[in-house]
Amino acid sequence: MIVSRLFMVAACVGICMACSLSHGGEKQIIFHDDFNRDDANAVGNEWSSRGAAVLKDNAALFKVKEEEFRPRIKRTFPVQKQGKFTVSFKMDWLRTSEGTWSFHMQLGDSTKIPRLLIYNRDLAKGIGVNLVWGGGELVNFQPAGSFGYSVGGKFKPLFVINDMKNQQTVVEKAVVTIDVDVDSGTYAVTFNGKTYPDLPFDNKGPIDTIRFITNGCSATGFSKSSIDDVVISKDK
Amino acid sequence: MSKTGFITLWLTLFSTCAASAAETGVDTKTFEELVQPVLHKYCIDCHGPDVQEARLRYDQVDGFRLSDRHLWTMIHQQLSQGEMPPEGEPQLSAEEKKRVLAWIEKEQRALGAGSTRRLNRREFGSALQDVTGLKVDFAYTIPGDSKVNGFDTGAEALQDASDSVSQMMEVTSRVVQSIRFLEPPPSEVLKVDLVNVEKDPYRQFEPWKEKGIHLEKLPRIAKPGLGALVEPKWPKDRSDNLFRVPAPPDRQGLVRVKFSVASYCAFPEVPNPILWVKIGGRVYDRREITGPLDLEYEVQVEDLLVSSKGVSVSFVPRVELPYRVKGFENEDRSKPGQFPDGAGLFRPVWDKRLLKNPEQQPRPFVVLKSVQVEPHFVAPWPPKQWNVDLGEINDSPQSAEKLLALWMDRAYRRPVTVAERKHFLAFYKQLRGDGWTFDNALRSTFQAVLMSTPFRHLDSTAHEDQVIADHAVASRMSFMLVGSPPDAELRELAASGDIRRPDVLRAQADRLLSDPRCYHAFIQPFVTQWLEMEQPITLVDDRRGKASYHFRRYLQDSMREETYAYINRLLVDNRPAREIISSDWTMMNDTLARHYGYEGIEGGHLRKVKLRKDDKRGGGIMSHAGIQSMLCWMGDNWVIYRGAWTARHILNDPPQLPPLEVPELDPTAGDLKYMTPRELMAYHREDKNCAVCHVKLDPIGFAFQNFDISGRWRDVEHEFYIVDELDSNVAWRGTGKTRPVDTVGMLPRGEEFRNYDEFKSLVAKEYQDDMVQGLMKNFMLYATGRKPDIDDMAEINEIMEDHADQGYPLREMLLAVFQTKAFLEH
Repeated sequence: MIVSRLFMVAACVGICMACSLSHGGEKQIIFHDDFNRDDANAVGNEWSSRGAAVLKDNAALFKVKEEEFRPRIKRTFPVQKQGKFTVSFKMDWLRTSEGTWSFHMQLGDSTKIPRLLIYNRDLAKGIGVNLVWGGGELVNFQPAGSFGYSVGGKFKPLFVINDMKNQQTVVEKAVVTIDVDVDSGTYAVTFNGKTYPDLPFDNKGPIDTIRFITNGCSATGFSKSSIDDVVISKDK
Repeated sequence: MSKTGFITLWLTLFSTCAASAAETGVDTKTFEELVQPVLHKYCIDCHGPDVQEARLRYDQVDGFRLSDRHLWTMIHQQLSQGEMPPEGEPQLSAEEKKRVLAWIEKEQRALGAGSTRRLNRREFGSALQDVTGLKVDFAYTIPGDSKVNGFDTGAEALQDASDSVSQMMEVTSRVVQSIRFLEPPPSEVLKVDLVNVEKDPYRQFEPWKEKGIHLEKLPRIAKPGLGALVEPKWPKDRSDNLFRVPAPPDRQGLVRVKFSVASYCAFPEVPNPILWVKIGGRVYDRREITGPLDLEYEVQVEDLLVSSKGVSVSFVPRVELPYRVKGFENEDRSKPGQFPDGAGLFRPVWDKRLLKNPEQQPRPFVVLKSVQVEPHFVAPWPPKQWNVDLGEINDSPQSAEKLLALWMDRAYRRPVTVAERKHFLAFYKQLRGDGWTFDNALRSTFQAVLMSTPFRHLDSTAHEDQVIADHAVASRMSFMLVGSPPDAELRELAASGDIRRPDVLRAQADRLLSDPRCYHAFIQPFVTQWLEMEQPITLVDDRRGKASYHFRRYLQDSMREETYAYINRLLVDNRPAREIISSDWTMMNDTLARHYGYEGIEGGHLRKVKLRKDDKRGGGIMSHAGIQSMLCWMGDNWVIYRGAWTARHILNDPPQLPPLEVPELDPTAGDLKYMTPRELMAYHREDKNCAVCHVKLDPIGFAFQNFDISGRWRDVEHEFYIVDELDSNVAWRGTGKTRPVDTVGMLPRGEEFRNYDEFKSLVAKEYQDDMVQGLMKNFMLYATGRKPDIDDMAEINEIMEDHADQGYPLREMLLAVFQTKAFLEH
């Protein structure tokens, strides 16, 4: 147990150091978490969570059970008030049968993000980049496996990831990359090799928080529901 | 012609009789020179155009108006008690304060009473029953009255409006069509006697077919010497009709149905049957049948659902309580894992092939001894039971005048002058001149009487005519306590002028309080309105608590009745006010006993029961399941509702209305679902608009966390509660871990408590005077129709001082209200 804790501390220190060091010569890593830690009942590394988000198999696993806005995790990183930066993460998200659900990946301003999520309108408060996967009435869109973004409280679909006939075909270990331009309040998202440019911020402003939210996802509706390798970087 | 004549007559009478109230005060100069500057100097910052604390705004007040009477009473109270301006703010000089208080008092007295009002719906219906001698609910179609401070007796809300007058016109038209003078009865009386029938009692009804009666599910079991046995129904069994009566012509008029009944069961453990009588789809009666009884229903066809086959008459005994009988197995409809034995629907089962005779069967029957029907009933008037000797009544002006005199005397609830009668007699003669029959002309004249102000309004007890004023005292007391016009004894005392003598007033109020009618006519409506008991009682299935409510309707009624019967008992026994808060007894019947976990209480009637020492609820109305359950709605905001209710009705410290812009707190939304009640309240108070009230209400509301949604005691609460549906019933189910109930809180003046018991002790010790004052204000409003003003409050305080040493005995306190100037001189 003690050994395991020591290892955890060492891992955390290592990750934090990585945050402030340059990586690969061209990019400055602002934040990086590969979740390569022992399985635990919390995600760790200063990720705050609500609901059952755990560390399992070196990834952040959302143990979904049809809850509202839960599980969800959030973490802050050095504030980006101007310029451009890039966020990428791996998504291992296999839907089996869920029809009404949503999964949100958000970047926003910690000073404006509310402590609690109570109503749907709270999802957008303080949020700039607001990517959404889902379907049914929660995103007002069919089929159930759509991907898009949210702006002004409305879901804007970009493409259908999977429909009910081909449910398990697309999102396994996909890499999502978001190129954010704080000055213009826009971003481009690249997903499965396709890029969607010039998407508008939900709310324009500085960015210092990354948040992942599951909403209405049932345990039987998904065979996989985890994320991995979150990297936030900017050009040197 | 006749209609025009009627309307002209009515308008003339209405305009001459209607009370005119002065709208504004008299001393506007002092207001402009003194009071208005004081308001602007000391009050406007917090109660002006920019800020309206407590929703009060004084910059628009332009004098002492009748409609502002309560506002000025409040200002007077707060100024005189030094509550306003608040500490730390600039204060009025002694001279300013003295002059402002004097101005308010002077203006209020100059403005007069303003308590003349029309009868409310209940009183109007009762007065119509009294004048006709019929039991018909004539006022059924009149909408409920607006309320003042929650009460339907407020003069402010009971003024004539065009719609209320037109509704009364329609109702009174039906009333006079229900009586006859010289006309023969329009239909014959149909009667079936079943006592001596040997078998197949349904065959006795065969002759009714020829009279147009449509026979349906009639009783088939005869018990010679007793009558026909009607089999009981169980919860969720559908009702059957005995028969359908053809509707009167134009589907208007009355149907009269009479039953002579008794109960029968060979097994003492079986509960008494509850008889439901529905006519035309409307429930007219629901009562426990314990012995022989004659039941009579006079119903207006206009109020009923009428099918092509006529008006349905349903007579259904029901078993509304689960029971066991020694020697019989119990049926248990529970599903595996749900509603284990001991709860749910169960009853003895037997083989109907083996136990064919009723005396072998463990179930209660209602015995039907006779049935009587009058398909089109028009009552002879005056009613026989009045024993009035008018001599021979024939088609003559003298007979008409005698009948009119009797009608008016009864309708006006006081002697009628010749001058008053003259208008109506002239109207009658005019109709006869137009060719109307004796009966029809008299009906229209009677209707005109019912539409005149002296019938529809309660006179002022300060009326300039002493005879009218004295009869007004009798009327107001009688309507308040027994819900009907004064009886002969009261009228005699009013006529002799003795009614105002303190000993007479007290004796009469005491007599009426002891009248059996008082329970339904005063206790029920007063307590319902005082404690806001119109709210629905929520009963939900609780699988963990092993309770289901197939018997919910009877339980819900019993839960309400507990509070009515408790307050009634406090008044009957003249108990101290403290027992409203805390006692060692309650009123219980078989159903409540089951709900509260008491044994050995049989029968549906409520009786006084001493509480077990281990019953943590203890006595007092706040421990009643009906009260705590009605303040929950699917568990939503228990703490707030319970806190606000207690502040309003027990602590005499009503909270402000919630601001419009604050969204309702939904404890099932998002993250709120995962909060404890205390965290939830803390979150709600983060909004400063909400915090103003909640900082006071929430700590009170926590005192009641030991009461679950059905008003039963619980020691633990669950992490989460979810709404579920089971067999089409709503279930409120606790899930997740349990934790001890959190009952720590604080009373408005800072007294802290850790549990319900400490809370009740503190309220009884520190807030009894507040509660009694609040109750007395309500008694006063109910009796006078006015919110108590400065002088009324002084009288209330005097009554309280007189009775404080005795612990505020409730009957004495109420009796004292009838001796006040507020009651006698307004």
